[in-house]
Amino acid sequence: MYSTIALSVLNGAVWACILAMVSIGLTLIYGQLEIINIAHGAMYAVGAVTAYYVTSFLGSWWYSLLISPLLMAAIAVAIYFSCLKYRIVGYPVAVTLIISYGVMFIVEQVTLLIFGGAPRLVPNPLPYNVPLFGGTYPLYRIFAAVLSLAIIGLLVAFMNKTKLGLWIRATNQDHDTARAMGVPVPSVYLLTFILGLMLAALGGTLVAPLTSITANMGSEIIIDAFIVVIVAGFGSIPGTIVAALILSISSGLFSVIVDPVIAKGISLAVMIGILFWKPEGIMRY
Amino acid sequence: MKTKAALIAGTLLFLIVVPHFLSPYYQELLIEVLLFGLYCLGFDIIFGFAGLLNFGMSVFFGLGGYLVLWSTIHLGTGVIFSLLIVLVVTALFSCCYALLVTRFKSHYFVAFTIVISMIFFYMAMAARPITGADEGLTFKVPDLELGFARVDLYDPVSKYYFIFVICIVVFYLVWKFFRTPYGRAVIAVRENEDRARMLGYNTNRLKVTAFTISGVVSSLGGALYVLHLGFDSAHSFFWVWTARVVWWTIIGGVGTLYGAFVGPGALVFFEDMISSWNADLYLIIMGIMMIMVIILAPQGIVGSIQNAIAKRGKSWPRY
Repeated sequence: MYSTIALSVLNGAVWACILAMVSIGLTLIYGQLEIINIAHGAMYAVGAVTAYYVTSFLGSWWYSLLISPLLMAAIAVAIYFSCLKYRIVGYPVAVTLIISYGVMFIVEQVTLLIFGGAPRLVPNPLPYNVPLFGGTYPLYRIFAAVLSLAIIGLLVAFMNKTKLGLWIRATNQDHDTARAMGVPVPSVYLLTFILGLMLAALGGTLVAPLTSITANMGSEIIIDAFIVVIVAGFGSIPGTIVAALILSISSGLFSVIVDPVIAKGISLAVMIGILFWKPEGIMRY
Repeated sequence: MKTKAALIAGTLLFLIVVPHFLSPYYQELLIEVLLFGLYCLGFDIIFGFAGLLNFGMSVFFGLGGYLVLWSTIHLGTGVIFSLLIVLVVTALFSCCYALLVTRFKSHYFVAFTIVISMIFFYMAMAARPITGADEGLTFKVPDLELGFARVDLYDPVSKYYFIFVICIVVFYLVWKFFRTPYGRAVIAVRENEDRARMLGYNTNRLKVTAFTISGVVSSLGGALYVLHLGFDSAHSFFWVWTARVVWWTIIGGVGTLYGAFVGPGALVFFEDMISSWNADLYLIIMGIMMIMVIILAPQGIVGSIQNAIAKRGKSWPRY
């Protein structure tokens, strides 16, 4: 019993790290462009599908860590210049919501047409186990969690230490003043959009060896990511990590006792409770 | 004024006569237009008139449907009585829901309603014995007892007239509501909530009222949809139904009560046409259409026509 609980907590924590990375992408895009990006889940699926194709054509999953963010950057540029360029700040939330909904339709369907409906698997790139809690634990999961935390750390460093990061934070606070101070605001929007979608694609790539890949796998994570972002308070990176940990670990713990679907419902109810307690987000004071 | 009355009379006459000239397949589609119109009307009330973007409308759609299904299966009630149960229960439910959710402002409201709708979806999926989860439950739709006549609801034409009458009644009541001083005050909250409060209106109560009406109307749409199909599954709680209602209403014209019916009227037939032409490209074409419409004609069909008549040029709707 003890090791079951420990393992489910650990599984929850691993999943939380990946979820936090994807949600930070969502929260970045929201904070900067005020888009509630429904298409985020579709991008996550694209990341996983890219990982599958890279593995089958180049022989190693490791290349996809580089290729899928690059591909996603190209997709982000295409979406930005075709749909978002003239409809960003100052437009009502329903407009951007509908646009991202349309983008989701297109991306998901194109993925489905290319990839097909059948679920597929990627072989585990790190097929080793490490001894843990009196049992063994797959090394790859630990690697995935550490890598996503490292990426989040890199992002935080980028936001706090570089000039581009300063521009992003300045635009986030007040885009008019930032523009007056000489910040190239449209380029900053584009950059944030690319960064956000890259995080989603990386999440998909990291998850690819863990689950079966389907073209519509994004619809599962998008809900979790939404809830995490809301509970964290839009735009807060530490809050996002904490919220992801609460959601995943609580649903992992409850699923030891009850059916996984009910456990999911209970953990969502927990999140709602937190939202009532702190409607502005857990890390806001 | 005269042309307007003529236009309304002409539309009603057209809607009464038209099912006799259609094949059963298109009769079913026409029924769906009316049902979805009712569902969109509910969304239009909360979004177009009260200015609250409720992105969890699927809660009402699914709830209305399941209430009809449960009362027919377990209580053996007739159609009218089932619909009354739907009205009462959803009115209570949406009032409580509104009291909880109107505390939140702008984006938090949107996000909160999304989360609530997802919780309902998960609950419905988990409660397999009660809801049938994704396989759903089927039931025999009872005949409509009108005292003087029994109407078989499996016949498309009589089903059409039954739903048509309900739509007209609900539409008239909602239309009337927004012409009372109280209804006008709801619109004032959309325009400027702070100013409405300064004028002495209890804005929170106005929002709760609008939310409740919206919930009841949408649930009625969901309930009739289940009576139409004789089937319901947990997927009626899925967020795709929310996205559909938002999309249909925006195409029809937000903030115009007619638009709620025009949107589904145009899109149900259009979607049917494309999906029977090429099922693979269907979603791609729909996605491209969505983006183009929202960029080029954000007022929707009715809004664009109104603007063209008034020659006001292109103005942005107040989403």
